Amino acid sequence: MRTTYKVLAYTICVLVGVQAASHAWASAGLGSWVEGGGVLDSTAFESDESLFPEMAGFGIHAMNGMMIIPFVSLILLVIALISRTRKAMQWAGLVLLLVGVQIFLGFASFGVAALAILHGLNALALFTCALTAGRIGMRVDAPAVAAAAPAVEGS
Amino acid sequence: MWALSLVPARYSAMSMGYVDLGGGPGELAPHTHGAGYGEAPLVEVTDLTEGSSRAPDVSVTLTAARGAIRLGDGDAIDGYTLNGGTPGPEIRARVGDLVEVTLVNTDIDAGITLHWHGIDVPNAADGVAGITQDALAPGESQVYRFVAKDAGTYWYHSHQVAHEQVRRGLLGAIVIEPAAAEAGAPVDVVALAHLYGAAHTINGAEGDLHVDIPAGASARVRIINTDNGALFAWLGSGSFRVLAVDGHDLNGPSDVSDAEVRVPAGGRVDLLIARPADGSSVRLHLGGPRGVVIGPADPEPVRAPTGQVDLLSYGEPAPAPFDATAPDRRFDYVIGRRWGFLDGRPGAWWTINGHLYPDVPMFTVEEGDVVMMRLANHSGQAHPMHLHGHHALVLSRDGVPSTGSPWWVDSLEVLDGEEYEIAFVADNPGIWMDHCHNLPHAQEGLVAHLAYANVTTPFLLGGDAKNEPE
Ligand SMILES: [Cu+2]
Repeated sequence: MRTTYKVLAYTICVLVGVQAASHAWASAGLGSWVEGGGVLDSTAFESDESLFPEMAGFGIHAMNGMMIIPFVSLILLVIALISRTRKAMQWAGLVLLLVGVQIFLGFASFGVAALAILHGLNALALFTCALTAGRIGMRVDAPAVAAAAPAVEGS
Repeated sequence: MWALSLVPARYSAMSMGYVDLGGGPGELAPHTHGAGYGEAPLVEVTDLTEGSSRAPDVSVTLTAARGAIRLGDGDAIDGYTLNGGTPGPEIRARVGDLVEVTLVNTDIDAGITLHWHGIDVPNAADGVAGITQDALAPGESQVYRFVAKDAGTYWYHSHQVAHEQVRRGLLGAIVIEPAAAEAGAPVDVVALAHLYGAAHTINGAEGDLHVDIPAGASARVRIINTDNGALFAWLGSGSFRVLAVDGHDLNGPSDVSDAEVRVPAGGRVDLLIARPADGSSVRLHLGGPRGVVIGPADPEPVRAPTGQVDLLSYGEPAPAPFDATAPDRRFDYVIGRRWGFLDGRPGAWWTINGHLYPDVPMFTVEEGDVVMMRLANHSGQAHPMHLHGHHALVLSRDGVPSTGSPWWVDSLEVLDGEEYEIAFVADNPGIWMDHCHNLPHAQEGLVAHLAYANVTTPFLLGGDAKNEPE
C-alpha cells in the first residue's frame, strides 16, 4: 500500500508536468501558426476545427486536468484512508483540495483572465504537495521529515 | 446519478425535461403533454404546413453529397456539397413568393435536413431532425414549402448532426427581397462568412470579396455569420449604417464611423456602405483575415476600432406592435455550467435553469400569448441564442431598457454575466428549438424547446432515423 501511495503521488507530479508541457506546446504551435498566416479570431477560436497540430495540446490539457488528475488524486485519498496513516491522509487531502482549486481557477479564468496567473502558481503548489506526499506521506517514524509536515503528528 | 443521465436510444422531445408554463394557464402536465391541454384539438407538427397547393414562385432542388472541399493552399478537407459546391446556391425570393425547395440526400450516411435559419416558416418546414422530420437517409428526399413573408437576409443549413454538417459545408444563403424592386436601391451584396478547416472564406472563397460599383454609389452588404463564434465587421475609412439585423430593418439608422459591429454566430447584419464620390475604394473588414472591398483599388487593412455599435441604443425608437408590459407567460432561460454527467459522460456541462440536458424546461405556450423571456448567462462563456420560428424584440439588457430602434432578433449573443429581456408573440404553432448556435455548445446540451400546448410530434430523437439535431 505504501508503494501504491508513493507511485500515485509521483504520478500526479508527472501529470502536472504534462499539464505544463501540453499547454506550452500548444501555445508555441499557435504562435508559429499565426506567424505562418493563420488567423485566430472568435470564429476560429470557437470552431471545432483542428487549426494546427499542436492544438491537441489544449485538448490534452483539458482532458488530463479535468479527468485524469482528479481521478488519480481521488484514488490517492482512498488509499490513504484505507491505510489510516494520518499524514498520508493529510497530504492526499491537500492534493485533492488543490486539484479542486485548480479546476475552479481554470474555468474562472475564462471570465477573469487574471485568475490564470493563480492557476499557474497553484500548479506549482500542487506539484510540491504531490511530491511531498510521495516522499513522506506514509512515513510515520521519521521525525526529521515529519517536522516538515503542516500538522503535528499525534504521538 | 450516472445512470439517470443516460439518454435513451429513442425518445420523444415531448417527454424531455419538465413543462414550464411561465405562469400561464395549462395543466401541470404528465410528461407526454398535449392531450387535455385547453380546448384546442391535438395537432401534429406534420400538419403545420404552408397549407396550399399553390404552384411555387421559386423552385429549387438541392442535392447533397459527400465531397472534398478545396482550400486555397491546395489542401482539401472531407466535407459535403449542395449541387456540387459549398456554400450551396444562393436562393432569392420576393415577399409573397411561395418558395419550394426539394432536398435530396445522395450519400451522406448520417442523414441530413435543411433548416431555414431566421425565416419564420411553418413548423413542418423547420427542418429539425427528430422534431419536425426524420433525417433523410441516402436516396431519400423532402420538399420544404413556405411563403416568403419578411424581406431580409437569412441562411439555410442542416439540422442533423449540425455541429459537424454545418462546419463541413451543408449551408447556403437565402435572401428575401421586397415585393417589388425599389428604384435607386443600393447594390445588393451577400457576404456569407464561413470557416472551412482553418480557411476564412466569403461566399466560399478565401481572401477579399471585390465589389466594383461606381463612385458615389452604395452597396447593401448582407453579412451572414455561419460559424460558431462572433464575427466583427468594421470599415477602413468612411462610415456605414446598420440597415437590418436578423432580417428586420432598423428604424432611423445613423452613420457609424468609429466602431465595429458584432454579428453573432448564426446572426445576420446588413450594412449600407457608400463608395466615396472622390473615386476611392473602401474596405469592410470581416474578422481578421478578409473583407469586402468596394471599388477597384485595394485599400490597406486597418485595425479594428475599440468601440462597438450598441444595438440597444442605435437608431430611433418606434412603437412595438404588441404590449410587452403585461405578458401572458414569463420564462427564465438562465445558462450556467456545472459538473455532472451528460449521457453518461462526466464533465463541466451547460445548465438551463440549473438543470442538465435532457432534464431541461419545455417552454409551453398557447397561440396568441405574449411571451417574455429572461435570458441570463452565468456560465463563463458567451452564448449566441437562437429561437426557431419567431422573432423576439429586445426589451432590455442588464436592466437598461432599449432606447434605440426596435431590435428584433432570432440570434442574440448573451455574453457572460449579461441578462437580456426579450418578448415575442406566440404566433407560429409548433415545436421550436431554442438553443445555442455555437453548435458544439448545443451538442453539449444547451438546447431547450418552445412548444405550443396542443402540438405534438410523431418524430423521435435517436430512433431508426438516427435523428440527432445538434
Ligand atoms: Cu453556447
